[in-house]
Amino acid sequence: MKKDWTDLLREKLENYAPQVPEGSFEELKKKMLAAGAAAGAGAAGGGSVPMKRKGLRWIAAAASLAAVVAGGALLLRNGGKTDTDTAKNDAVAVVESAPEDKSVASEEAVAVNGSNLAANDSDLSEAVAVNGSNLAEAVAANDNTPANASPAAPSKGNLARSNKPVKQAVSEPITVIESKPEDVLADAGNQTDNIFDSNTENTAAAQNEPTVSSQNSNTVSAQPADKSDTVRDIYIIKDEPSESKTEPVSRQLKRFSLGASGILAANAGSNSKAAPNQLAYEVDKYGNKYYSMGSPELNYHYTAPVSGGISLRYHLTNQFYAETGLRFTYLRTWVSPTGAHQNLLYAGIPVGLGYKFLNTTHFDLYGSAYGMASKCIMGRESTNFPSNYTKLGEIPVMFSAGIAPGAEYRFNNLIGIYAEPTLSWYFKNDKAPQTLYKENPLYFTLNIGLRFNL
Amino acid sequence: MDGIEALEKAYKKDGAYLLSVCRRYVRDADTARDMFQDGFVSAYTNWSKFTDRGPGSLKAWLARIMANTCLMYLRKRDPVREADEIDTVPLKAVSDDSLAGSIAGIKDEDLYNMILDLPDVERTVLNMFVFEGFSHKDIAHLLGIKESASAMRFYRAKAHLAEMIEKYEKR
Repeated sequence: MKKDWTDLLREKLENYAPQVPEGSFEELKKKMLAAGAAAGAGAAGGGSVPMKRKGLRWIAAAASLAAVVAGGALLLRNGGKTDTDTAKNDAVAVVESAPEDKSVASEEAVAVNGSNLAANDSDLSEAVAVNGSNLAEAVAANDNTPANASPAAPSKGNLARSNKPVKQAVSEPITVIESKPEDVLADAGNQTDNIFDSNTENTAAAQNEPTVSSQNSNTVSAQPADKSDTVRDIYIIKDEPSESKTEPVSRQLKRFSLGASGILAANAGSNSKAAPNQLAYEVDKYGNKYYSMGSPELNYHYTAPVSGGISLRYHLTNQFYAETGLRFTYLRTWVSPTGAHQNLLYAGIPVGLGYKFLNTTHFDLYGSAYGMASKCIMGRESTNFPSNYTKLGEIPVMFSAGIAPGAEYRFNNLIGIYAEPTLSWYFKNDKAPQTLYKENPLYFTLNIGLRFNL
Repeated sequence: MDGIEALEKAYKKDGAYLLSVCRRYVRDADTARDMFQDGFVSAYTNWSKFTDRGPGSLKAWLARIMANTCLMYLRKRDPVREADEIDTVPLKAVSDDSLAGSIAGIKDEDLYNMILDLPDVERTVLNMFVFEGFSHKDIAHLLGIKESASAMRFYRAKAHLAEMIEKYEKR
C-alpha cells in the first residue's frame, strides 16, 4: 500500500532538527523568571507536576504473589506423593509353605518388586526386619525342625527367604522397622547362613537397589492364593495408596521441565490509528484565537510486542505443577506529534500454578494461572533527526496476571512442543510510559515453544 | 519535577527539535529564535496547565506552544493578504502518487529547505495540516480564514512543492 505524500513528508521531517539553539539556558531562564514574576507565582512553573498515588498496585501484586505461594505450599503439603514414590513402595511378599505341614512349615518370605521382579529395598528391609526380629526364634524353630523344613523353592528372582512358622506369621502383626536395608542386611548377614536361602547375586542386587524408606504402617493380609497344588499364603505388604506401577516410561513423572518459547502471534491490541488532534483554542483579550495552552493529546502508534523467554516447570504432583521463568518483552511505541520512538525492553519473572487435565503418553492438556512482575531493563526514547536517544528513567515495574490453557505434544521422553493461548491483564500504572499494554490492558497472545523434560 | 528544571532538561534534550518547529512556521532564522525563546517563556508562565502524561508529553506540549507562538506572530503580519497576492499565480496540477515518489527520493535537508521557501501562508497551512494534524476547518478557525481558503492554500503549497521538487530533480 502506497503512502500518502503527507505521511511521507511528516515521517521525513517531523523530527528533522538541523539547528541547535544558540545561547545558554541561563539567559532564557532570566527571561522566564521575569515573566513568571509578572504573571504571578501561581501560574508560573515553580510548582511540581502532580504525582499519582501509588500503593494500590503493590497491594494487588503482593496479594497475588501471596496467593500463588500459599497455593503452592498447600499443594506441596497435601500432594507430595508421586507415582514414582508409590510405584517404588508397592511390593508383595509371598509366603509359601508346604501343603502337608502348614502348622510347622518353614516359611519363605519373598519380597517381590511389583514392576520388575527385582527386590525392593524397603520391602526387603521390612521382610528382613520381620524375619530378623524373630531371628532367634526362627533359627531355633528351624533348628528344632530340620526335617520339616521345606526345601527352598525355586528362586524366580526372589531375594530373601527365611524360616518362620506360618501361623506365627499370620497371627503376629508385622512391625515395620524404619531402617536402611543395608543395615538390616548387614545385621542379618551376620547370622544369615541358615536363614537366608539366597544366592549372593540376588542379595547383591538387592543392595544395589535405591533406598526407599517406608514410612507408613504396612498392613498384612493373609490370603490363600493357590490351594490346588501348593498352599501359598500370600502376604501383601504394600504402602498406601496403590497406584499404577506400570506406567510407560514416557509418562513417568519428571520433576522439572524447561520450556523455551516466543510469541508468534499478538494482535488483540491493534495498533492505534492517529486521531486528528482535538482543536482547543482560546481567545485572547484582543479577540485573537490561539491554541489552548493545555497539554495536547498525544497519539500513539504501537508495534506488536515481541516476546520470548524460558520457563521452568516443577511438578508438584502428577497433575499440579508450579512454573516460573524469565521472559523478555520488547515494546515499541511511536508518538505523534513529537515523532519520538519509545523503545522498552522488559524482563519479567512469571510465577504460576497449573493443572494437567489430560496426561497421555505423548499429549498433555493443561491450564495455568500466573502473575508476573516485569522490570524495564532498557528504556529509551529516540528520534531520527537529530539522530539521538535519551534514556528514560524511573520506569515502574509492570505487573500482569493471566490464564493460559495449553497443549503439549511430546516427541519423545525428552522434548516436546507446546502452544499456550494466553490471556493477560496488565495492571495500569499512570507513571509508566504509554505502551500497547497500557492502552489495552487485556491482551491475547499465543506462546509457542519447546519443552525439555529433565 | 520543578517547572524550571523540567524546561531546562527539555531545552537541552529537545531544543533543536523545538527550534525546527519554529523554523517551519517562520522562515527568518532570527525571528524563529525569538519565537523559540518566547515559547519557553510562555511554557513557564503556563506551567500549571501542563499535565505529565509520560515520556514525550512535555516535548509535545512545548511543540504546541512553539507553533502557537509562531501563529500569533504570523497573524500579526496578516498573512491572508500575502496569500491573496500569491493566489493569483497559476499552478500545475500534481498527482499525489508522483509527489510521494519524488519526496521519498529527496534528502531531508533539501526537503526541509523547500518547505522553508514556501510562502508563509502556504507553509503555515501545510505545517498545520501535515505536522499538527489539523483539519481545514480547524485551520480556518485558527487563522481566521474560510475553510475553502485553507484547502486552496494547502493545494497551492502542494503545487509549489512539486515545482520545487521538479527543479531539484532536473539539477
